[in-house]
Amino acid sequence: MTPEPNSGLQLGPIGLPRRSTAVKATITTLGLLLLLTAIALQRGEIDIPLSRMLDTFLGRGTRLDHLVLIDHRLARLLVGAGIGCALGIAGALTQTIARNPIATPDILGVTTGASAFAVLVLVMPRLAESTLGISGRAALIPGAFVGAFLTTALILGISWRGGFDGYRLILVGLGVNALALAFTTWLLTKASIEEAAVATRWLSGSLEGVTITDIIPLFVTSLVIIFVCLFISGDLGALKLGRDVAKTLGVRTGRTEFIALALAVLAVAVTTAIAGPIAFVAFVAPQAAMRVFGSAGPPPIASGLLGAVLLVSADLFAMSLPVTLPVGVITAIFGAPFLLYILRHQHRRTRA
Amino acid sequence: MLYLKPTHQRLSATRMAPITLGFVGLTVTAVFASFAIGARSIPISEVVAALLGTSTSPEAVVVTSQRIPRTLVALIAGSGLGAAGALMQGHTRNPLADPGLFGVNAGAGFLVALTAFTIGISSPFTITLAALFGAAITAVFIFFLGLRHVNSSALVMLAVIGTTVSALLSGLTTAIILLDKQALDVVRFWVAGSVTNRDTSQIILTLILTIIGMLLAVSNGFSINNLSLGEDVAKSLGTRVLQSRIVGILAITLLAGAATALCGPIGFVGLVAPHLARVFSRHDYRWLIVQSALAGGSLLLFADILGRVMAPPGELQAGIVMGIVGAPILILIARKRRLVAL
Repeated sequence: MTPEPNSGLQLGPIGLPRRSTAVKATITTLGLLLLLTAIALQRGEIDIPLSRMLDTFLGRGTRLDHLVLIDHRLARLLVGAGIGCALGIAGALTQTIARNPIATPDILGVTTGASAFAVLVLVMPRLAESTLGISGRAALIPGAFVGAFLTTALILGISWRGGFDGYRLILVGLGVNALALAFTTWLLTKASIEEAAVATRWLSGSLEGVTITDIIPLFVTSLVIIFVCLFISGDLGALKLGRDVAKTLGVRTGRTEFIALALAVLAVAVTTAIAGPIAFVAFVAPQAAMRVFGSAGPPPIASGLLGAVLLVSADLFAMSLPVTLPVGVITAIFGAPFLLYILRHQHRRTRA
Repeated sequence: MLYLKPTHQRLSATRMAPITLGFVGLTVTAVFASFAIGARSIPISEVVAALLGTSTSPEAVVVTSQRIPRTLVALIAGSGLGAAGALMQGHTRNPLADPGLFGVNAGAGFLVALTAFTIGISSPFTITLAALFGAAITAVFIFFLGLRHVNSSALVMLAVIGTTVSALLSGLTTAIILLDKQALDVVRFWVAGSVTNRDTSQIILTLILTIIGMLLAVSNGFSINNLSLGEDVAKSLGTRVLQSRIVGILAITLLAGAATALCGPIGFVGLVAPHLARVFSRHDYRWLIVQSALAGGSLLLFADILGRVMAPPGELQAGIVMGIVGAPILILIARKRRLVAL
């Protein structure tokens, strides 16, 4: 765990230990991301050669090229990468503080709670207007945030019994998830068929129709999360050893856990508002990152990188199918078996 | 053992018969409440007259054409789900087992959507067949996973696996209905779990399947009693383990699959009903299955009645009410004690 002296990088409170597996994995992941970027930019109905691509990026391209390349392909790529990154980090944070791989926002029902309130905002614009002062797509982020926050508070409040038992947390999460799901289903039956169609498409988690303007809130959130993560990464590392050990190491455990949880809630709210609930990225990315990067626990930043890779490739895969499916369906189809694998694996070890 | 058994059975019968009668009373109450309560207030005398066929007033028509069919539907589906839940809890020895929570209903729902999309015909027969097939696949899968481990972590893990499988299947279902706006309009009400406006021939089909499933379930009770002592003990007591597991899966498939085909996926009935029955009776599955069926029927009826009066002027689907009522009960089970295998 502890880096050897004079290895790695130390900048005030921010420390980066040097481990060869991690370095190799980072280079590979970044390479993959670059490759995916290249694929995402060139694939599609309209063929744009490299020279015209460069022209467009330098601002000398035609309007059509600009529209296709920047407004469409690049926007979708960046939004996908940003969402994957934020979700990956959120998953790593919650897995770390709960010390349980299952404890991620999507499995515990925080994502469902966020989308339930977002659907509420979608199908009852007047309510949104009166409480939030805005309606339509602009109200989605605050709506989702309220939902994510309330769900988290509910799950934590109910499962707190002088401490969090991992299994109780998960069961309560399942219950809250079912509750939010029932609420959403009810809202859908109340809505008109047009609203229901919009909400259903959004509820399956899709990057279709994201615009370049979605990038701003997403990148601000991602940057804030990454920045704060770097600051608390040392404390989080200590938390992996257990609360008591972390305390004796001088970590203010309560504060660290609160910050980590707040970051996760923020990430879930913003990503859900933009693209709907995208299942299993927050669960898969940290667990995959842990294995690929050879670290002892879920590494936040690496999980973010891997989350971006996973979501972008899932979206590219979704687009290459004969029938265009929402990316949330793809992540569910590939994520669920991975969860089953982890559950089987977890059995052999007593506890993660 | 041989000469102890009759005493044990007699003891059980004298204790269990009154409790079971109590559940019958509950069900009868629920049925009459369902006849009498609704968005339109109809005096009791008119309800009775309608039931006896002596009145032809508009109110009586509401009772005979609207409330009687939906009561029948809720009763059939609820009792099927309740018994299926008891069977699942008995076979997997998992107190969290529920056709909804463990993905059996989602499996049935997915195959219904898939069939509707690929074949396009939505006759009651094809819908039911598809639902049965989907339920069977998921039930086998859950049994396969659930019978391996029975420690406290595995009990919760099975619930997580069930939810995961549900998420996967409902993701696929969403994908299907997104391709077809007309399918969406049908399925969005179907997934809400409604007991109204069901096709008569499908009600009859479901009734037949549920009766067959119920007979299988009841015949399975004695084996489950032995199996809950562990497979080895059950074997030494003369239980044919594989055979009774297969009967169990068949019964769950018929009960949960047919109920889902009729009403859409309804969760928590199968979870709550056996727990309700266990409050009064012990773990004797010969009785528990019957009591769970009665409790499940009453539960879904009360959920439907609640949905009729909860949000006027509209109605809330019974499946949604079950979600709202059932989820807190799951949380209660989670909070109350350490989870132990049944």
